[in-house]
Parts: sequence; C-alpha cells; structure tokens
Amino acid sequence: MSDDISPSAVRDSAADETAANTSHATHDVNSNHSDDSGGSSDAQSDVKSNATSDDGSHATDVVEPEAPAPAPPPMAVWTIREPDEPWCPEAFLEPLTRALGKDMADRLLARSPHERGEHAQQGDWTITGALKRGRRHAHVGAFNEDALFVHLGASRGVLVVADGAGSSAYSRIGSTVAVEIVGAALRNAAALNEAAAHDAMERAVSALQAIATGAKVDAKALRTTVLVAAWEPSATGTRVLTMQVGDGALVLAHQDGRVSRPTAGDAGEWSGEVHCFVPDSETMTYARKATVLTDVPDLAALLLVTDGVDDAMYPFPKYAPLILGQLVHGADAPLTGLNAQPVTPSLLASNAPGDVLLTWLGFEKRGENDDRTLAVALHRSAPQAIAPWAP
Amino acid sequence: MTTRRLPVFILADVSGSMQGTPIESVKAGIRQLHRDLLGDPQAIESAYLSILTFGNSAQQVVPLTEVAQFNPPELQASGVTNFGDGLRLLLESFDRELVRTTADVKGDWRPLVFILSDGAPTDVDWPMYAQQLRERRPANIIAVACGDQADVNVLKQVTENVILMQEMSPDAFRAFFSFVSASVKQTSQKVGAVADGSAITLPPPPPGITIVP
Repeated sequence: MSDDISPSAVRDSAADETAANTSHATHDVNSNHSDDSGGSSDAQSDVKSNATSDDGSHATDVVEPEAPAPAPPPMAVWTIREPDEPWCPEAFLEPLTRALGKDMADRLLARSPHERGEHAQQGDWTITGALKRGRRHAHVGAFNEDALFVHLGASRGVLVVADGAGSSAYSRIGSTVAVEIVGAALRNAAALNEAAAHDAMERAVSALQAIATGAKVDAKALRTTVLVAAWEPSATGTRVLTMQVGDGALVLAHQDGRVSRPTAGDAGEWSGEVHCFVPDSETMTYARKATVLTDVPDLAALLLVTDGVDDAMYPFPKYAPLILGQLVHGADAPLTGLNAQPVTPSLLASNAPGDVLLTWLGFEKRGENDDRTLAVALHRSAPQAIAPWAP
Repeated sequence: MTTRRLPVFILADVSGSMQGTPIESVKAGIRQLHRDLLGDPQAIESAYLSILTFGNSAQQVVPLTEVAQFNPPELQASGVTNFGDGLRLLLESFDRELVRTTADVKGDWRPLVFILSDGAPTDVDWPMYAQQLRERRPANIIAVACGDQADVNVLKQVTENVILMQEMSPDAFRAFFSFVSASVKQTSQKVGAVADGSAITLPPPPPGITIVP
C-alpha cells in the first residue's frame, strides 16, 4: 500500500491527535490500483505536522514549582469498520446490469469501493485520479460515496468526479453509475460540444431513474453531484468542455500560472447543501446553466475535486495553484491551514502516480473527514507553467 | 481555511413550573448529551453547543462552544414563560455567532435547534419571532412539548418538527437527550442535502416520545 503513514514523523501534542486520526489509513488498504501495479515505493509515507515543535528555547534560570497541567481536551479517536451490507444490494443488481451492461457492471462490482488510484499517459497529456473513503464513513462502517472516471485517448481526455449525497441511502450507486455513463458518453461522442455534454447528462439521469424504478426506491435515494471535464486539440489550442451539477470544484491552469474556474460550484448558505442533485427533475436546467465550451490557447492543467477536497481547501481557486504545485513538483510540507499532510513526490516523477495521489488525499484537517476525490490532467508544459509549492 | 462547525442550540424553558425534577433532569440530560458527543470523533471535531434559557427573560447561559471545551451549566427554574424573549435571543445568537458561506469563507453546517417547553407562553411577542424563524428557516428546529401542559400548537408555529414527551420523569428526559445526541450524530454524518431548508430526517424517537404530525 502507498499510504503507510508513520506516526513517528508527527510532532507535538496537536499532531498527536493527528497520529491517532491517521491510524485508519495504515489499515484501510482495499486498494485497487488498476493502472498502478508497478508498485508504490515512491509514494512517500511521512506525515508532517503544520504545528511547530517546542525547541526548548523557553528555558529559564528560575526553577518554579510546576503547576498541574490542565487536562488535555478529549481527542477524536477514529476507527475503521467494514460496511454490514453489500456495496450493491440484491435489489439493485439486475437494474444496474441493465443500465451499464454486464461487463461494466461486473467490473464495478469487482473493484474496491473504498479507495482507488488511476493513471494514464498519452501524447502531451498525463491524467491521474484517486478517490478515498473519508474517516467519517470508515468510522461508522459506511461506504465511500464518491466516484471517479478517467479516460485518455489518442485525441480526447475525459475526467468525471461525483459525490453521492450523504442524505441519500444509495448515493454510492448513483455517483458510480453517473460517472460511468457520463464518462463513456463523452468518450464516444462524435464531437465535443454542449449537445454532447447534455446528452451525456440526460443518459445519466435516465439510467439512475431506471435503476431506482428497477430497485423499487425513490430516485432521490441515488442523488449525486457530477463534475465533468473533456478536452481535445483544437485549431487554436485545446477545446475544453466542462459541466457541473452540485458542488465540488473544477479549475483550469494556464501556462502563465493563472487559474480560471469555468463553472462555479452550486453551494447553499450552509455547508453541505446544494440546490440540485442528479437525477432531480431540475438536473438538466442546472446542467445547461453550468456547461461551458471554450478554446483555451494556453492550457497547462485541469483539476477536478469533490467537496471532500474543496471544502477543506476553500476558496478552491486560491488553493488550486498550490495543490497543482504539490502534485507537479512534490509536497514536502503541509499546505497552510492543514493539520498534517503526507510527503509525496511529483506525480510526473513517479512510476505509480495513482498511489501517490491516493497518499496525497490523506491530508488532515480538523472537521474535514468526508470522502475525497481528485482528478488532474497535466499537459507537458505543466512543469514550467506551474510553480513549485513552497511553505 | 477555517473549521466548519455544526452549531447545536438548546433553548430550554426554565420557568417556575420546571422547578424540581424537570430542571434537574434537563441539567442531567445536558451532561449526558455532552458525554455522548465526546465519544463521537466527528462531533468532537465539528459540533458546537450553546445553551439558552427563557423564564422571566432569556439568557444565553453558554455561548456556542466546541464540545471538547463545553462545561454543562447550572440551571435554575423560576418565573414566567417568556417564550418570545427566548426566540428573540435565539435569532440574535444566529446573527451574532453563525458563519454563512461566502466566496471566501465556507460556512457552518445548518444549525440544529432543540426547544424544550412545558407550558404556554406568558408574553405576547412570541408569534412575531416564531414567524421570523418559520420564514427565514435559519436552522433545523425540533421543538419538544414536555408533559401534558405544554402547548403543542404554539410550538407548531415555530417548526413543523414537534415531538411530544408525555411524561416529565428523569427517564423521559434521559430518553429525549439520547434522541438529541443521535440527531446531532446523524446530522454530522449525513452531510449533503438540498438547500431548501426542508424538514430533516430525524432518528426514530425513543419510547415515550412521539412525533406530533
């Protein structure tokens, strides 16, 4: 496994809590690295605390009686539990197979529901994606509800991430089916345009509604966000198609180091609330409003995340250049605001980028324990365009 | 990057009719709730508790405080049931203490509010504040009518989530605070909801407590 986090690398009392919190990562190893079988030795294992250690510089000549130390505040102790029910309950098996086809359904059922890293390289582009069950779900024996689709063909790339709604009982199935349907539709579309994006989303809505009907549940039980990016070469650079329903974040990085956000995520007044999920009746209204087709002359990278990352690094456009800097050049210190973060090498220097990204997703921030998914596409210009992360 | 909170407000009736076993049971219930939440890692990292009371007037006895730093308060019951002042102070606490999402700041989770009352309001202003709470939907509010003297219809004007605790025994209060604890844990688990302020899904109420339709 890649995320062999060493508590010995964690310093000070604040980070002791972190060490306790990371213990699950050491054991949560149902990884299915479909494209990373080459090993993960370069996915480094240390966790570095953001807090400073006591270096003894407060020493004094006067020895005073020690006051009793105040009791330390209770620490969050996280455990890991396997879910009691199967990822796909029996009532869903037949409708799932009918919606996706037997081969795809079998492939989904065979892989780890908890974490996965994927990677592909072709021509000018490298894509890497990973998803990881959050501590909150692991603690109560719930499934990861995020989903990830990555594709890199000779001329077209497609990344799709999704986050099943926590209030929906089978959102893990909803998010997984949605990314597969949308991803496959855009991979196979004759042309990359708004019509192709909307057709892909309509297919996902229809598939989720059919599965809900077949399994005899309300379609709201499958609610999920969907965040899409697809790109291919154009006469003036790169044609980029993006679409979003729900929260999460998507940014483009340019060769001058700027980042831009084609679609703003849907967020309510309070955390964790959005106005519409797939397959709600207003899905296509929200999808059409948040579909952008643009020619980008200087595209260096695309970055998509679910809210498990976005919420922990908010506002995301501010953190996106720093995250990309870590992914492209390596991370050896925690980003500002994180309690701790694993040390990871550059995705581009690794022979197991999926594992590296999975390890990167093991960052720690108080209160942020949701499932996490990140997908990134790096153009060959990315190492020059994106500045290294420096504390 | 700031820590997002799940704010939990308990607005308790401390009028004279709560003297004796009821107020002692509320205090014990708050202690029990605190202990329960200290056993839940997500609650430790995100839940914040505040205790407000109303009798002759309203008081915020404990401001919004993270679970690990929370000290269960001493409460005393006396006076009339100035329900309106309690609702006013609740709205004021929302404005003062809650963080809403902006382009730069990730807001709190939608707050959870538990209102306990064993009687009928003695003030005349409460409908105005009840209307504000109903219209603004600033929180998921659960009101509990304690005993047979509580005015369920009044509570229904504040929130559609009204539960009835038939008895005011220590066991009944204990069961109620277990329900509060389960609600907080469930809310912090099931993040991801539609932002329309619609009724939340509550855990099943314990025996002796029924949901008022």
